[in-house]
Amino acid sequence: MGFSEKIRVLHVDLSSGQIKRQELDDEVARKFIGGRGAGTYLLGTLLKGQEDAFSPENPLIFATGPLTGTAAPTGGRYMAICKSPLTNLVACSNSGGQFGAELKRTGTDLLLITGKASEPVYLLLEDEKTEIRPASHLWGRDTHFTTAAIKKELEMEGAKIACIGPAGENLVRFACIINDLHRAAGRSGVGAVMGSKNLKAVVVKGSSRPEAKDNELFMDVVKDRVKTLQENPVTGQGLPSLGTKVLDNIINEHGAYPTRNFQTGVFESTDEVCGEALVEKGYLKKNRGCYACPIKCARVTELPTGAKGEGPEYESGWALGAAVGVKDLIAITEANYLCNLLGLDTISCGLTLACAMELFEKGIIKREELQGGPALEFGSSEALVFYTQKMAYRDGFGKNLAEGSLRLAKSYNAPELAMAVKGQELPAYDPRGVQGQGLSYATSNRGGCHVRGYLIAPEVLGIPEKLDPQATEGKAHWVKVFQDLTAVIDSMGMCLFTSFALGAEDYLALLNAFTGRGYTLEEMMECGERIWNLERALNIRFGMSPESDTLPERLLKEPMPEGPQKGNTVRLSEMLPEYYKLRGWDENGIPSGETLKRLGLDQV
Amino acid sequence: MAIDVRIFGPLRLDSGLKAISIDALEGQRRLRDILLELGSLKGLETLRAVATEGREEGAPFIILVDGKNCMLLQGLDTLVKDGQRISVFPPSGGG
Ligand code: SF4
Repeated sequence: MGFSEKIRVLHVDLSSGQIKRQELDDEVARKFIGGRGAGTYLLGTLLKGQEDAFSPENPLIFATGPLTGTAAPTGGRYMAICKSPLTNLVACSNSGGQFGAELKRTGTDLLLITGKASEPVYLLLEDEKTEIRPASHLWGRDTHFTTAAIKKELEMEGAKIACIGPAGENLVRFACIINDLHRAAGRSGVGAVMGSKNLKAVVVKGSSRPEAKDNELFMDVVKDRVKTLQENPVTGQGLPSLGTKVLDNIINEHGAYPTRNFQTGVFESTDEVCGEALVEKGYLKKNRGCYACPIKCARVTELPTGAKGEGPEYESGWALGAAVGVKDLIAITEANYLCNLLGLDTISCGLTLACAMELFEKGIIKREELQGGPALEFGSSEALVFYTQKMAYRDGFGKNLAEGSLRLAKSYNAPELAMAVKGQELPAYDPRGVQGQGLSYATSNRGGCHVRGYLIAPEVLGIPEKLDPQATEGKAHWVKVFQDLTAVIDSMGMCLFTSFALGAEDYLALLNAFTGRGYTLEEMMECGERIWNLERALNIRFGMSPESDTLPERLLKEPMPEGPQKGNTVRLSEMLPEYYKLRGWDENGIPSGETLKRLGLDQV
Repeated sequence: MAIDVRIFGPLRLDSGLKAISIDALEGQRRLRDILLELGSLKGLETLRAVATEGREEGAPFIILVDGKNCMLLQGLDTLVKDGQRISVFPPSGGG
């Protein structure tokens, strides 16, 4: 494959069976980079706004960036983009592994799937050949069975597979897409949208490696940045040795480790479940990396019970651990494996259970409602594993859980007990201990999320410099810059974890060397800003009210009860107006006409 | 009483040490001196360099005193009192 400046779209309509190829204008590539940016742009051209997330009109887009499938360090990422059934806003979930790179090798940048198949099917992309194949025999099966069965059926060496489990089929609102067995496009229910299309899997097998505009230059830049990543203490040592789970103790010692549905920020049993314990107990077997990744943060684990898999990573281990008060590392790891098999997002799964446990603790959910299931008590490993299974099948009380924490809590007239923003469950940092992260949560375009602006890096980890986590001054600026740069990294097709070692100039060098687009630093950052505003504008078109730029009441009003952050709440009102101003949005959070015009988004 | 030091991450794995109790001597000690003392233990040698190589807050190590980053106190010159707790993390990231 030669160098391609155009963004190549393969459009498969599952209702009609039609398969078409199209290209997006050069202008789109330049303005939106690719991946997250270009995929979201495409989404915006297809949805009017009021469509139901489960309707055939809602497209599902697998988007690779210009650097996906190249030698760029961590250049194997893709995004699954659609309207979310959890938030009713833009869903845009990133995943690594090998799938994205292989999709690119088939000669497709964006795979656009519309419509709904009348029977379960899977999609096979083999270079230029595209085939819709029957999948009724796989319906109801877990992700590992499905992956193995397709491999056997096709006998295709090197094929990579992304699929859904029972959770996606049963339209659990936070079902994920699992690729390469262990990697997840996790959040916002992209797997449920795939299920609503009767699409069980996408299989890719390609043979053409993407080429840079200037290969020699690109390889020089790559070599240099790989070295930076290897020499950096975080990406060269910290992440490879303990993975993301090195954070359990850091965040807990900091007093911001959300425990029992964010009732406190200190988990008394962290020593039992932390990354260090995973090694000391001998469950960690080795680390593994995604495509072209020198960091290799993934954990390959095996339990004394004989069960094997990957994970838990920090977020998953927390959601299925401290968030539900469970201190049994075996149960946590098993629940994590189960989520991967059933195709459930671990964060939303854990936090929906946590919400149910608090409702139970307060006597709002009654024992009789559990239809014979175990008591929903904080700390119960039995409840954790039992209800994880039940929610994937919408069985018994699992039916209520499958709707996510906000819908669950609302059904009991207690929405304040859902630790969610815009309907999506929050991740593993209590923002009462990290003010900027609080602003980042409140303004994230996909609701509760840590990978849209990871303020933990400067506020807790001191990267690239240390900020006072309790200060609010200046945080709006940091949040904006992080959000914009993250949009760039995601759109390029690289992993966010590289940003512990690389800065904006490094991404610019990689992007320019590959595409030859000759962006200036300002232009590249403006692309990030444009993508952010595009998502915002689409969210407003989808019906988002800017009043939802807030946090659960608990985090704004209930002072942290103990630990280093005792007495703190999130002082959102000290940061939000400044943030709107910096963004060029009016005081109600609506992008002004002028801002949209400056970014070339006035048509949106 | 004494000063309670918690060791985390690869440092814990290398040294096999989780928690160390340090004598508070006259009731309080400089953080830098505590790190120097810890640096004489097997597996914790890098803490010597953290204490001596002059970087204000011990960065890129993360050093907390009662949950507060020492950088927001007096850096490595922070006086740690009897009964306080120090947490030491090697450079870390995740998400
Ligand atoms: S840093 Fe971790 S998540 Fe990112 S690409 Fe590498 S192995 Fe995958």
